[in-house]
Amino acid sequence: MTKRLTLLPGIALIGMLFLIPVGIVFQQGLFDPVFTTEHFVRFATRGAYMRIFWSTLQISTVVALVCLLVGYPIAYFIVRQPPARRPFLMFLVLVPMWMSILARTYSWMVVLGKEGIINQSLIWLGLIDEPIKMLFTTGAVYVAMVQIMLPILIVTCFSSMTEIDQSLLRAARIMGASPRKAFREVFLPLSAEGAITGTLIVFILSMGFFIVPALLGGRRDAMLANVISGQVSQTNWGFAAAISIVLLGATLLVLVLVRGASAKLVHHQEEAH
Amino acid sequence: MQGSRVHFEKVTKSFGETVALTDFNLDIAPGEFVTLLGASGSGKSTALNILAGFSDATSGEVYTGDRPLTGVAPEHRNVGMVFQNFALFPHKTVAENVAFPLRMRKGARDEIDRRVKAALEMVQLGAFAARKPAALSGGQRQRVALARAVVFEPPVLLMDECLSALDLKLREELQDEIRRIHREIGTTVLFVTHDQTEALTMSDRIAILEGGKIVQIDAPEVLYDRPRTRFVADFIGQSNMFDLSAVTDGTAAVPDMGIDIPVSDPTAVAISIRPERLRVIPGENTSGLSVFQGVVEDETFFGPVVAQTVRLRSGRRLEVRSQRSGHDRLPHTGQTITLAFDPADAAPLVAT
Ligand SMILES: Nc1ncnc2c1ncn2[C@@H]1O[C@H](COP(=O)(O)OP(=O)(O)O)[C@@H](O)[C@H]1O
Ligand SMILES: [Mg+2]
Repeated sequence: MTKRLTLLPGIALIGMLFLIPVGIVFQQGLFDPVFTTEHFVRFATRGAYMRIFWSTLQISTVVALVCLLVGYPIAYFIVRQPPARRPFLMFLVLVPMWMSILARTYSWMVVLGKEGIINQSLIWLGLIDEPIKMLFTTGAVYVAMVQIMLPILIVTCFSSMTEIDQSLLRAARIMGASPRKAFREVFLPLSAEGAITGTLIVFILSMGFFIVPALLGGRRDAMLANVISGQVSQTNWGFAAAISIVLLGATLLVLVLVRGASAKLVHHQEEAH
Repeated sequence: MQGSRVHFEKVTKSFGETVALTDFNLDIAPGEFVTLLGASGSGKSTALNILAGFSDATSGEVYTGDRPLTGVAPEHRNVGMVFQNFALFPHKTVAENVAFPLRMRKGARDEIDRRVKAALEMVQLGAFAARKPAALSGGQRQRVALARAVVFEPPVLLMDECLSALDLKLREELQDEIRRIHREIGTTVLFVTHDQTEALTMSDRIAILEGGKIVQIDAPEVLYDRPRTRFVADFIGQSNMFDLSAVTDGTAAVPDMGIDIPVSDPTAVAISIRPERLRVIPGENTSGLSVFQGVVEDETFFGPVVAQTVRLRSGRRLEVRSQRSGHDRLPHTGQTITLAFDPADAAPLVAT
């Protein structure tokens, strides 16, 4: 019983900082002042909102998958290095995370802009005559989001990979597996759990992204968080709350679906208990 | 199945400054059970890893049968291996683990099933096929690792300190089991341990490693009765070692005992006498024995055996083990006693 009591401060903290705000959001979205689905109907029937909803899902999915495709091999490369060299490589991966997302987003403006580093270099090299439009495009949003999220995925993958016992790979080899087979049969399944977790984290964070699309994207690259912010600044609390609920629901749904699917694909060690 | 000959020829291995193996020569007959015995860091794992193909020798060559192995990837060496930490795949069931080497060799499905079943039966784990390794005890995991290593009938089987993680009773059980399986399948076994008892009970021959070099390789009883160096005499069992004066005409003085004894090896610099080969004599016939005196300083009672520490006149101490037979009383602490040994029981030791 005393064990339970020591949990109380934690529960109180979660209640105050998480449950109450979420409760207020739900209350705002569903009552105006009596129960209504008006905000949700508005969201679902206006083409523009639904388009932004789908594009938010699409951007988040693509960013998460690109991070996985780029980050997993990087993490694998680092794990394969001699242990003495790994901390330095991980340090390099983590350095960008010390900068605020805002600062990094502004840096991308400097890099991608009309007078930015890339355009200047290409013109100087004589490869192009006119600057290419890179800033305020969907591409810019993707590039910056992937750059910002990549360390998160690498760290998650790396930590799950370092837990894989190297003698398992040796065992696979001595039993007749080529390096590629050993990777497929042993390393991949054992690192999949971490990779999926990392990908989901990137997806969840991407779903709520706000600064990058606002500063680097074009007018049609707004994401749901930008719409919410717009509605809040117009004091449309109810509608803003409703969009937040949709965002939360969609994120949770994807989370549950992916976890369910991966539990079937990946064998869990714990299964046997 | 037939085991194949394993042959290390002048193998050396260095890691930068560290020399892990020097002039390592070992010739193992087909079907033989040979143990590498040595302290931690003596190069046992290095030798196994070179044979398995996990690391390359700095120089020298390793053969299985007549086939030189340099440049052959581990997966093409057809060698079975049991790892120290078992190295079972945690995401695969027991049956899938054991099937792994067969699958890599692209066997037919029902043939694989049949052999997995037979291998699991051999280690008495038929009922555990569907479990994950996490749901097994240490001994069961060890058995799975063993089944997995032999299921594809490799002509060579390597085991690296694979029993050291288990408690004594289990270890003895598995020692018997490994011996039995070795007899059944007839594969050549290269076994690694730092436990001398394990080496003595299991092996056809034992190679003692010191600092990356084999200092003696012999059958267990030869190793025990006739150690060649101080290191071996000390490493295997208990031993009393005495310096010798120079051997002349087959005789040398043992200054600590104050006697001369016959010594067969003219290069010997010391002798080793096992504690149980020393006899406490009240005055029986001592012809042909070497006799000297000392004072009992301490004794430890083991039931049928009593171990006594005896101080010689020179101040040297030695260990005597006596069987307590019948009603004869053993001399007590403080008493001066006469000790005797058959010079044939004194193993001549050479300098390293
Ligand atoms: N990968 C390595 N890098 C550097 N030194 C090593 C490496 N592997 C083994 N050694 C060194 O080689 C020697 C022999 O090691 P090892 O064969 O593992 O000994 P054992 O298995 O008998 O305990 C030790 O001094 C060890 O420190
Ligand atoms: Mg070792």
